[in-house]
Amino acid sequence: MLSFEPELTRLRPLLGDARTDALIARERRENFSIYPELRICAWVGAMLIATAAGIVVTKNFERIGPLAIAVMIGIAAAACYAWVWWRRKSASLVDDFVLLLGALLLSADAGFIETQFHLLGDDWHRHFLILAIAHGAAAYAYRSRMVMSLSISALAAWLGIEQKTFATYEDPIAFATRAAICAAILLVWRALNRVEEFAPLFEHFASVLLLSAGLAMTFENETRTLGCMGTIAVAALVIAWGFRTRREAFVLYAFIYAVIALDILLVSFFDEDALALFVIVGTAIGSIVALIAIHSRFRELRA
Amino acid sequence: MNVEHERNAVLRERLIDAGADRAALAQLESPWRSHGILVQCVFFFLTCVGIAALYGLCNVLGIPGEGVVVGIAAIALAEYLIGVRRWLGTGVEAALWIGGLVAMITELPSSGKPEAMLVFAAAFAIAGVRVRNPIFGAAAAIFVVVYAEKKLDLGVIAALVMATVAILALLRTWRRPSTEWLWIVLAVALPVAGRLTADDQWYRVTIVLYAAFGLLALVLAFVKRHHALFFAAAAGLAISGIDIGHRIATPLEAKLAMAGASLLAISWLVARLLRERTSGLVATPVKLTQADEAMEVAGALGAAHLSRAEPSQTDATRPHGEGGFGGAGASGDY
Repeated sequence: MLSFEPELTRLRPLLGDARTDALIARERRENFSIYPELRICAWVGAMLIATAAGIVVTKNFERIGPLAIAVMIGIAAAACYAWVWWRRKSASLVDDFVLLLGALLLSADAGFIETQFHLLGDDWHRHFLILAIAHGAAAYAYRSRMVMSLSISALAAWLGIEQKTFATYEDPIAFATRAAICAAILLVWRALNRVEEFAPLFEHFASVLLLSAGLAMTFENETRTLGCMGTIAVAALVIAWGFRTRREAFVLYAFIYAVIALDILLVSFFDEDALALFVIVGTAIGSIVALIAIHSRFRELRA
Repeated sequence: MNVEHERNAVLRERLIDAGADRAALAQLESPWRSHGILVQCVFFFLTCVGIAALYGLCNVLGIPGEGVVVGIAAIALAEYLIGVRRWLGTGVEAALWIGGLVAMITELPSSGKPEAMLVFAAAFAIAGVRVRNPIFGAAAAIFVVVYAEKKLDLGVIAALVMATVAILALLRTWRRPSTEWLWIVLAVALPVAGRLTADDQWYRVTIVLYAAFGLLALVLAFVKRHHALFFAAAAGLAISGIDIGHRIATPLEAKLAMAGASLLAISWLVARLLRERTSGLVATPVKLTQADEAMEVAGALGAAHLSRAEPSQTDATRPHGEGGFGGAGASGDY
């Protein structure tokens, strides 16, 4: 156990009685909130049920039949949405995760229906767009960031952004184009959005997609230099945005992307391993020094 | 970093969160440069890249004993940063220390014996003590667990003994926050690490030991009101429950659904019971860590994983009735 009671007692004249008493009560665990534990517990519960639903579908597909499965999952998803809507005036921390479960079941159901019944024919991938709209509407109705993140995910899936394309270097230019389009849509959505708590989601997704788009272009010889320069330019913008909004996470991951792009750019100029490694050592030292300066500046701004 | 400096640094962060004014914060000045966990991770990563590149450079240049050269250079720089520049908790000095020691270990002849685990354990323990890093301490303990498993077939026992010592240690008041954090990491990580070494033939013993550990931690958690004890209890009981589940001849989906529904129901019930409470155990919203924004970042990074298990977006000729399904979080295959 840790206790800062002696220090808090010493600081009482500066902190004031009310604040000191509250902080000491926390140190003594007179008020101890198990809110984080309950949220994790509920999240795990929702994930287990969603996984179970997926297995039920897979294993009982032949026996139950596609229509019955689609209806069952749909009813389960609707029940989750209805439960949370019904309880919205006396919402508990569990309701967030019941809603998440409903959204996951809806995703599964939409995918399953399209796979089995081909309602959209050759345009089957449009079910992602339908999901993006449905999850987006639900996110606004319930003010749920988790459901909004599912909506953004579905939007990106509709645009064909796949991790495997990026990781295996298959058609990185197509990946970069799609990621850039998705980021542009998210930035427009961000501008139109009127729910404050959703704004960081749009900003983070758009930033990561743009940075990934730039980095993807470095996988092709013809676009390597452009990709590196683009990544560094976008990283600079994201870092500036991080400073403006006082969110250090933007600064940190944009900085990492910029360092990787810089390393790729510089290493591409050298054929010799020794020179390339020397450059990486140099950029590592330089980036640490630069990040120290950026972090110090960030602290000053926040102080 | 002496005890007072370490306590001041931690209390200062807590008071900033609590909205304390500058006059109070000024009383808690610490001469040491340290960063939050996210910034430490970035510095640690960048420093590790630098050390690895330096090692590779020495190797390419054919410098004899490159591991020793890099190790000495890294540790000397770490000591300069700690001793002269007063860096502790920045991520840089931790990476230099552990990178230096690992570089030195690469110079040792590879024997393939279990004792090699003890060498790594010693390296992490030395680095952990020097830079007061609880994660290094936990890594050292995990190497000891692996050694106990390889040498004596006692990985689970070693892990649970150390984890039990950790949860008992959490009952007393520690002056140094880093010591407290070491016990926290050990109490939560070791049960999981121990289970990874468990042999199937001992499943009954494993279930009993983990259930006993989980119950002990749960009782202590309620008595002492400590988040780490709740998480240690969750680890022990979850592992025991999963192992019991493996032995029950019920379809997997039924077990998952029942477990999930039980967890949701327990959360709902407890939240409801605590809803009106204002003292003792309560369920008022609190932040456990400062990682809320990091969660957002993780969500954003998860965008890259969007449709990994889904049908290919470019596959317009997908056969009817086959392939995967899902999107935005749920997926499956037929």
